[in-house]
Order: sequence, then structure tokens, then C-alpha cells
Amino acid sequence: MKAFFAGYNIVTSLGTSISENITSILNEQTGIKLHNNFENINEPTQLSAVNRKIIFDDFTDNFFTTFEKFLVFSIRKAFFDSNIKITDKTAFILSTTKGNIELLNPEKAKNYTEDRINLWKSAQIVANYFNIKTEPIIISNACISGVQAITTATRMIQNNKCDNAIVVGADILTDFVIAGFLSFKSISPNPCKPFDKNRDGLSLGEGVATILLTNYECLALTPKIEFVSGATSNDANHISGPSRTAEGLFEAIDSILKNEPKIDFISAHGTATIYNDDMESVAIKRCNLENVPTNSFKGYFGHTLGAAGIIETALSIYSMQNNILFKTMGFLEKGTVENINIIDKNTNTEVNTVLKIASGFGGSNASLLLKKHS
Amino acid sequence: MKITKHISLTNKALTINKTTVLTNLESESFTIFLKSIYNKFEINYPKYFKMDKLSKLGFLSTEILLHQENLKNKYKPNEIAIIISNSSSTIDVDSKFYNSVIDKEGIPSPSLFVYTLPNIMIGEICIKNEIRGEIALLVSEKFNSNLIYSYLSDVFENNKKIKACITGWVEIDKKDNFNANLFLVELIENTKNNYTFDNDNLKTNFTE
Repeated sequence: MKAFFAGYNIVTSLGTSISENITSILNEQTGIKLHNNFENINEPTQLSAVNRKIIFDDFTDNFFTTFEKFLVFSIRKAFFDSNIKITDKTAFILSTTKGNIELLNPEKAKNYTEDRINLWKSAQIVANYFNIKTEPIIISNACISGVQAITTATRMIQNNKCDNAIVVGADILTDFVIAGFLSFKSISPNPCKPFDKNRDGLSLGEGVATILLTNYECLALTPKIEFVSGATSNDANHISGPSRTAEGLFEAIDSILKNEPKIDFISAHGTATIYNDDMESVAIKRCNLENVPTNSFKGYFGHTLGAAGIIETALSIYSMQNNILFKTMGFLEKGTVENINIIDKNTNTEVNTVLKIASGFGGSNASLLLKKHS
Repeated sequence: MKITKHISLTNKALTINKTTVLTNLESESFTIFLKSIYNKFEINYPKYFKMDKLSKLGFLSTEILLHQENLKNKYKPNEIAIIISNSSSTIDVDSKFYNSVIDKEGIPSPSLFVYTLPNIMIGEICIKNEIRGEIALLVSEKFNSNLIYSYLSDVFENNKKIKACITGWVEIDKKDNFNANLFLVELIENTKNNYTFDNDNLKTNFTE
């Protein structure tokens, strides 16, 4: 069985659909700006915040938490333009790092049962709402969760375990997460500058994204895009810093590139921390991919954690559908340890094969290969 | 595929292949019971004491699982996978970190924050044992043998480098109830007494 693309939606600070996001990206806008309205966060911080009102307006009550509303909103929208329907063999895969973590605040938790803070509880509630019959699969593997969730769905379809799959990833901005990244001193005082010589940290964002996959080629959206394979690997080096030799990411890419002579585009993780971007440049060079056009989308809407891999894969699918590569917002001057081909202007070009990569805390790395069928 | 070893470590006892090795007769606290196991197995790894409880539990359980297994001689770093599941993610350290966020006089601690990701436990195990294969942290309400069996089958099927896996359940809840059940799964047939890797054998070996 092959896994084909069957629908998508993304929600970021730039909009609540692919087309709204693309419009802003083409206009070279960033959704990252100074915010000082988060409880318990004393310093104004560069963040990428979703216009939550648009999401909340879709709901008449607070049966769902904010995080769950993000999920439901995006899944609903992903089905609008899709040919697939939920069946008894629809897999449901959720990617998130912190889910309903804001329920640690008793004020926010007062309308919900105590178990609601658990990731499995959110997944159950959302799965029940969509009448999904299979047991949800929840992946919480830091910043690689999204890419890994798509790989998981791909494998399930390839091994004939489901008809189709809903892959959804989300994380919302909370004082918990903002304070955490501030404590790490990894947030840039300006909108982030991935792969740039003067990059000085990431911009934190929130968002949600859904990708639908199907095993029926006839239900795939055209042009047909296949999820070919993915892999994960660990650096075995440090819990909060990447390997200088990019051991894990090299391994993850090397595992899936065996039969793929030409890659047209790499959608990198590109958080704009000094170490992450250097590490990615080393991995790309070690895989002899240094000439492949490479971007990071983080300059547009920040690092959206559990949503990031799915948002960026969705935009890569748009690139394949429309044969356009997007520039790396915030990038001006090369400055990674290895010289790689960072896209610095929007370019119309044939995009048939895409490599998506991600890395995260815990030494995690993931890769995913997508291919357009002519 | 075979389950070649199983260990369980809970509030009550430590068992290895269903044999009870140590009982927590005095109902010692998490920290004290685990420290006695750390000493019994003569582990010398100062980083252990910097870890949060979930990582301590995952790390120590893995040390017991791999004790005398010589995994390093049998497999390359990229041939071993780690697929671990739990229910409460990192609720213990989440609460501690959140208290530091709302404390007007305190400063949130980065060394606590990093442990608010459940896969850090897997990172700690990988660092100690030089493991670079597939990794996953899955969350489910209860230990779900079918989830583990299915996920791991796909890993073996789709990543042909993988020849062995450390898998199972590592959970600690808000009330310090803890339960680790780890299985060593290997592709090769070996001569020891072992079980076929399947849903039933994961389920029946799991110790509450």
C-alpha cells in the first residue's frame, strides 16, 4: 500500500487556512511581534500568537478547552476540500508537547475534570467528537512530534493497518512554555533569523495543523503526492543541545535517502538558535545535500512545537502542488558552520521531491520524504 | 521477533523475568527505593541524581533490563530502538516547574523545564547506552499492549536497520505511584527461554 496526500489545514498567526498563510508569506509578512499580555511573564516577548477569536467563534460553549478547540477547528477545515471520509479504519494521530498544560492554573481548570490535563484525555474527547473508532495514537517527542506523527501514519497505511489517517498537531502559547524557553535564554529579542549569520535565538509560536492521508490513490488530491518514508534517530549526545557532528539527523536522513538520487527542496527545522542551525547544516553537508534549496518557515510564524512539523510539511506540499519555493524569512547572510543553499527569494521551479527534517530536545531527530507523482 | 527479557519496577517490587528480586517491604518512598536499587546494581552514574523522577525511573529500569546483556557487543548504536509509553507524561515535574513560574519571587529553572518533555527520559537512556536508533514516546491512558506491538512492528518493518528494541511503559503519577515495565525485543532467535513478541505476551507479562 502507498500513502497519499488527501487534505490539509494550517492555523498560525498568519491565518487559519493554507491560502491565508500563503498570501502573507508571498507578501513577506511575519506574524511574530512583541506581546506583553501573558500572565506571569514579566518581560515583553517576541511571539507568534494565533487570532484565537476566529477559532473560538466556531464554538458555542467551552466543552472543549482552548487546545482542543485548536484541534477540532483544524480537523474540520482539513476535511472541507478532501475526498476522504471517516471510516471504522480511520487512524487518528495526535502530535503535541504540552496539550492542556494551561489547566495547571486552577482558574482555567475549574470547568473540567481532573484527568483533562492528560494528553490521552484530549485525544479521546476529540476522537469521540469526530466519531473515530480506532484508539488515538499520541506522540509527544518534543519538536519532532509532528514529522514523526506523519511518518507513523505513513507506515500504518503502508502496512495496511488503516484506510486513511488524520494527523493533527498543536501547541498553544502558555505562561508555562514561554517562561520555560525564556529560562533557557533561547528566545531572540527580535523575530527569529533562521540560518543567518546574526541569528540569536528562536521565536516561540502557537498553531495547529492537520494532514489527511489515504491508501486509495483515487481519493488522493491532484497532483498526487506520496508520503514515501520517514525515520527517527537519537543523537545520544546531550538532552538539550544538538550533536555537533549531527549524528542523529544524519542517521535519520541517511535511513530514508537510499533510493532517492535527487531532492528538489529541504524544509529544514531552522529554529534560528546558533546550535540547531549549525547542526542542520552539518547533517545536510554530510548527506551531500548542500546544494539542495533549503528553507526554514520559522521566520513567518515562529516555532510552533508539536504543530511545527505538520505546518511545515503542509506548506511543503503546497510548494509541490504549485512549483514554488519560499524564501527563508529573516535570513540575510550565510553564517552556518557548513555552507548550504538557503533560499533567499521566492522561486518558481519544479518541486517533485521534498525532504522534511526536524530536531528537538532529548537529542531527537526525524526525517520524512515526499514525492509528487506525474 | 522475541521478548528476550522483561523487568518490572513498581512501588511494590522489582522483578526480572517474573522473579522478584527486591520487595519494597517498608513502603519506602520513590527516591529511597530507587536509590537502594541503584546501589544494589552498583550503578555509578552521577548524572542520575540530576534527573527528574520519570527519567530516574526510565533510566534505572533500563540499566536493570540491560544488566549483563552486552547489547553494545551485539548491536551497533543505530540498530537499537527505544519506544516507551506512559499515561501522565511529565505531570510530576510539570507541577514543580509551574510553581516556579507563578512564584513572584522565584526564577523558573531551565534544568526543571527540560524535563517537562517526556522524551527526555529516552534521551537520557540513549546518552548512557550510546543508542541512536528509532525513538518514540507514546501516551496512552493505560498500558496498551496493542499500541506497543503495532507501533514497534511498523518500526521493524519500515526501518530495516533496527534489530532490537527497548520498549514498554514508564509511568509516575501525581501521587508518586510508579510503574515501569520494560521489554527487550530482539529480531534474532536466541537460545534463552523467551517469548514471541506479540500482543498477548506483552499483556500477560505486564506487572501491575
